[in-house]
Amino acid sequence: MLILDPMESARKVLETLIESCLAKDGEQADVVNHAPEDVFRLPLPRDTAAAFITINSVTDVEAARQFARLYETTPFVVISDNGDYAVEAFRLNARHYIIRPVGEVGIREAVSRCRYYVVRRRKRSGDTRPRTCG
Amino acid sequence: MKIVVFSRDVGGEEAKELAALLREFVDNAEILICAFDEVFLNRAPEGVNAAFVCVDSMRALEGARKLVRLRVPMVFISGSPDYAMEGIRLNVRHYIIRPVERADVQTALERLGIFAEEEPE
Repeated sequence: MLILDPMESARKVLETLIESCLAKDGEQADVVNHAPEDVFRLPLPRDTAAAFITINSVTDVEAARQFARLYETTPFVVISDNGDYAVEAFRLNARHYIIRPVGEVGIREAVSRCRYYVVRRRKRSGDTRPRTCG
Repeated sequence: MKIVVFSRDVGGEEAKELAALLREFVDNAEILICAFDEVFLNRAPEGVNAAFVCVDSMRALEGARKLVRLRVPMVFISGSPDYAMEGIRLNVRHYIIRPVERADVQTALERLGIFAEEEPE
């Protein structure tokens, strides 16, 4: 799992929440976090199963667009303080959109939608190897 | 393949143009234009593979909620972004803001799994 958020403290909180949420469901998540600008200059983990991208500004939208361009098949979820970027999330083909505060219900729904997307894509490509999204 | 355009103006230009575009993209598809009343009166066509829903009122949104219960994959069409969050909640595949362009319809069909890109639910 990958988290892109401009605030380090928010990244840490989200990381803990995702890990604990999946642990409760008996799953182990390897969660890494980065600042949004890293998507322009660093190779992000290629084996990312899903990403949580915070969008609260035009700069954040640019980072999300870059992520969507580079990691076309990786499902991602938008997190925001409000619903202002919902249409942009549709344009970018985000799997879900969570308005803060982020809770376990939101994380579970997001992971479920990402997992479904991955399964659907793999089914289409004829790849039936088991793979988790969490 | 059955695709339904839900609009409050079933005889309107928008619904007709959208239906024509859909026919261009999807060979042998049955494209229907329906009013929301059909949904509320439980007279919605059966075996619908996808719905393009013009959402510009709470009534339209209620109709969309009912379609979710019928497990019909949907695309929203609206004149504003006001219904985008509800679209996210209802897990609609795409959200088109008017005017509806050809590319929007193609993207929507891809996301519905009808036009090459993805498998339908």
